[in-house]
Amino acid sequence: MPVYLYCFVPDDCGAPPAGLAGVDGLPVRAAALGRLRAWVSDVPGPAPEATAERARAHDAVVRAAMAVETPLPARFGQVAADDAALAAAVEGRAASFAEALAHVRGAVEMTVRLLPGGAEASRPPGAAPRAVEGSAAVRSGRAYLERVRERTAAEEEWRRRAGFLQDEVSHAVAAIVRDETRPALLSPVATLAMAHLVPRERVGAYRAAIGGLRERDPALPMMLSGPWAPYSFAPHA
Amino acid sequence: MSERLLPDDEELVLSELLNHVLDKGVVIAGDVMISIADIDLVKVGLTVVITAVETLARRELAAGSPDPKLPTSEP
Repeated sequence: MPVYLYCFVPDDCGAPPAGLAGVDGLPVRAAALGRLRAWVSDVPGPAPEATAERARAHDAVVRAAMAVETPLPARFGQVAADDAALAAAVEGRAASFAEALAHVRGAVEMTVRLLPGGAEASRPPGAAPRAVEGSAAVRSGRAYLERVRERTAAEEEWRRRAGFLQDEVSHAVAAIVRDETRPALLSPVATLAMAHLVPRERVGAYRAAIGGLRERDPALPMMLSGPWAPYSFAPHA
Repeated sequence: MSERLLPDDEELVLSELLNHVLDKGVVIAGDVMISIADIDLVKVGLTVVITAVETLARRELAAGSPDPKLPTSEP
């Protein structure tokens, strides 16, 4: 029977608590996968489509594990043919997962969402380009180059702002966190998220550090959320 | 009918939940294609996050430091 994967758990977690309901209210059980252990549900068919309710249910199971010890959460929507297929899928990565479980042990994820503004805020959408003199052809060429120049400058400004914001946050919490993820500043987006791996006993200090940043600059465009299970600290290989 | 100008906390929290659950976490085989069934999910977009940041920041400042006890009952 197909199995839906919630997370990989350390040995401390044992079996899920009786009556824990997963996606679509399905019961949750532990699956032994060689060196690893996972929490799964037996599901009737292929991967379920994402809905708000199912997303919450997925996270609720992960949090139930986290109540005992920090698990390695799986992304939503992964179904294997059966336990054996799941075991085969992760066999080659068992060492990497075991290492990741050790890395997140005793910690939680806190997320800081940043709004650097910049590229899209530098000019209102739909605004006309600056007027350019000359013949129609010359105007068109110059206008094009002007737009390119403006866009490049706006993107550089965005990168500068985003980098500055990330550095501010990073410095504020460096002594508190075990690990950090930063998004690559490729092309401008409206929001960026940084994630921190914070030992459980230091979450209060972490919140105070972010609060201190806000007190220094109440207009700092950021939003704190957490604690989460360490979704952002999953190994990629 | 009064128009709701700012998203409520539940929408913000859902937005962050989806950012984690749909976009992060261990991927066990190849690319995971996630199909989105619930039309309401599409509405919870970046605008929701952007418009509410200031409100949240002001509220958190006014309320003082949030309770750091774990795990929390939300989101």
